[in-house]
Amino acid sequence: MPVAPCTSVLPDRTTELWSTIERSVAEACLLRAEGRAPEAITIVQQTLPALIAEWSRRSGMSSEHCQRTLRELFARVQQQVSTATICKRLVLQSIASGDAAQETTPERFQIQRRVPLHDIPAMLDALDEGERTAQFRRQNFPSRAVRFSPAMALG
Amino acid sequence: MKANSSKHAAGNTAVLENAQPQTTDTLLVGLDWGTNISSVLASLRGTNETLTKELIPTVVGYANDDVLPGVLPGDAKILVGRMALKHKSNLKLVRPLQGGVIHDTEAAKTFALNLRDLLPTGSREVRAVIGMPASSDLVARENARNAVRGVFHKVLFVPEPFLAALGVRNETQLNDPDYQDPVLNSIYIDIGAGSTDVCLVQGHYPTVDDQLSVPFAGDAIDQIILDRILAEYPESGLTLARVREIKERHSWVLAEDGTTRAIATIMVGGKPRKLDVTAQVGAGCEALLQKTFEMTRELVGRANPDTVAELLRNVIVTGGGSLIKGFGVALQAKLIEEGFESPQVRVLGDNYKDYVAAGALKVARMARENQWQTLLG
Ligand SMILES: Nc1ncnc2c1ncn2[C@@H]1O[C@H](COP(=O)(O)OP(=O)(O)OP(=O)(O)O)[C@@H](O)[C@H]1O
Repeated sequence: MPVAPCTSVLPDRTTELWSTIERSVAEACLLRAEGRAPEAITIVQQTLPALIAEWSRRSGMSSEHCQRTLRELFARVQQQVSTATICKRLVLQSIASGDAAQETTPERFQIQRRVPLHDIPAMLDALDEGERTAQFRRQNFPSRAVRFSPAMALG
Repeated sequence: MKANSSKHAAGNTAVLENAQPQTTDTLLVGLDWGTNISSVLASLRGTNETLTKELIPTVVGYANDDVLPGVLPGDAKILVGRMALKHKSNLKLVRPLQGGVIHDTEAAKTFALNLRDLLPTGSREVRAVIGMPASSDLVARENARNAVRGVFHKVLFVPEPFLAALGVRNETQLNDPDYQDPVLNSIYIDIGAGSTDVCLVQGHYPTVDDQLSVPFAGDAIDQIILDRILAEYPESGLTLARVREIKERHSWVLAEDGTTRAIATIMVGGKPRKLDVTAQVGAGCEALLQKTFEMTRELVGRANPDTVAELLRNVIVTGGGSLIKGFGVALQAKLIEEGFESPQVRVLGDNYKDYVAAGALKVARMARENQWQTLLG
């Protein structure tokens, strides 16, 4: 977690200002990563300057110290956002490939792990797990789920 | 195949007998709900006595509007199973299942209600374990659940290959040193109407990796046979239903002279003609044999090499497609030709329908109380 400079000695308003600056920087970086540059620029050019000016004044730190602290904040948030962006892409890719696999073998009635033949209750548990997973996928990713044919619905 | 409505004595289920307390207030049902024919077994919970053993053609017939009074028994509007087939000329026949899954839910419910009437339900709670194709999806299971809502109190759906493996095993003989347990290391082939399933059963229930299923089976070869006949006799007006009848009587692979000639009376140019369609029937059956062989070969390729020799000594073929004359021998010959050592193919035979239902009843006896799905409404 980023720590506000001299947190323990800063008065409340300064802590509050620093939190707002952190949030605004994070938002600007996220917007840029999402390709929404104009909105990011608005935050950097219109919201942040006034906040930074007031925080610098109240912090009691030298302007050099303030600038260094701000540079560190920007670097840290940019790093976090780029890691998050990669994670997001990987998750989306895995969902997409999972759905592709599901489309070729749509929610087949099978089990994923080995269950000895004599253990009928364990086999039923394994089937139930598969069923729940398939239902979860269908509920959470309905656009890719197997389409329900009205002709098959209860008459 | 003949339906049997007599009451039968206990099956091979001694190992399972203590699983649940004896209660006469719960009826357990094992159901193989097939596209063409359904097999049902029922017994009271906690007992081994089979109270009901029935084979019912999976068909519902709705009376035609113009049927005259007194023609249909009790002037029924709906007939099911063999009665529907018997009176088919006055009915619109509907097959509730296609490719092993429910296709017409209303007809399926009518069929299931009729089936329940054959059971000694009385005021008992009725719990059914129902086989579903391994290739069925969530929607298919939901449709099946809807169809049996109001028919059974509690249900469990289990993939058919699991039930067949359980059904074919004779637990009473497991302590006999000479008994070859068919599920310890075997290849199990089920050739139905809608799909052919091949799976490795090696002491555990087949996982995704142990199974292959293709939508190529009895229905597909009916189409091949029909296409071939139409190619030769384009005006013959032959239907798929008629082709299936011909196939079921005259199916063959391996040796054409080992079968009776397939003579079909076909209308050509408005006149009935007797045509020999033996070769066309053989071509369809051969295509299924080839597909089954390829699937078997692929699955053997996935097995642990140390187990392959024993695996190939236990190739079990079941399902209606296995009744093609010469199928087992022909598959064995193909495996030998491929270079596999001493493969042995066993065809389960006419009573293949009993195994899935028997497996389903075993599951019903062993299921934990909290595993049953209660059907409300
Ligand atoms: N003697 C026979 N020769 C060839 N094929 C046969 C014979 N008897 C039945 N069949 C075919 O077997 C198929 C039905 O097999 P089976 O009863 O195992 O299927 P099902 O359980 O009704 O269908 P599915 O398993 O697809 O739900 C049909 O295509 C039927 O025509």
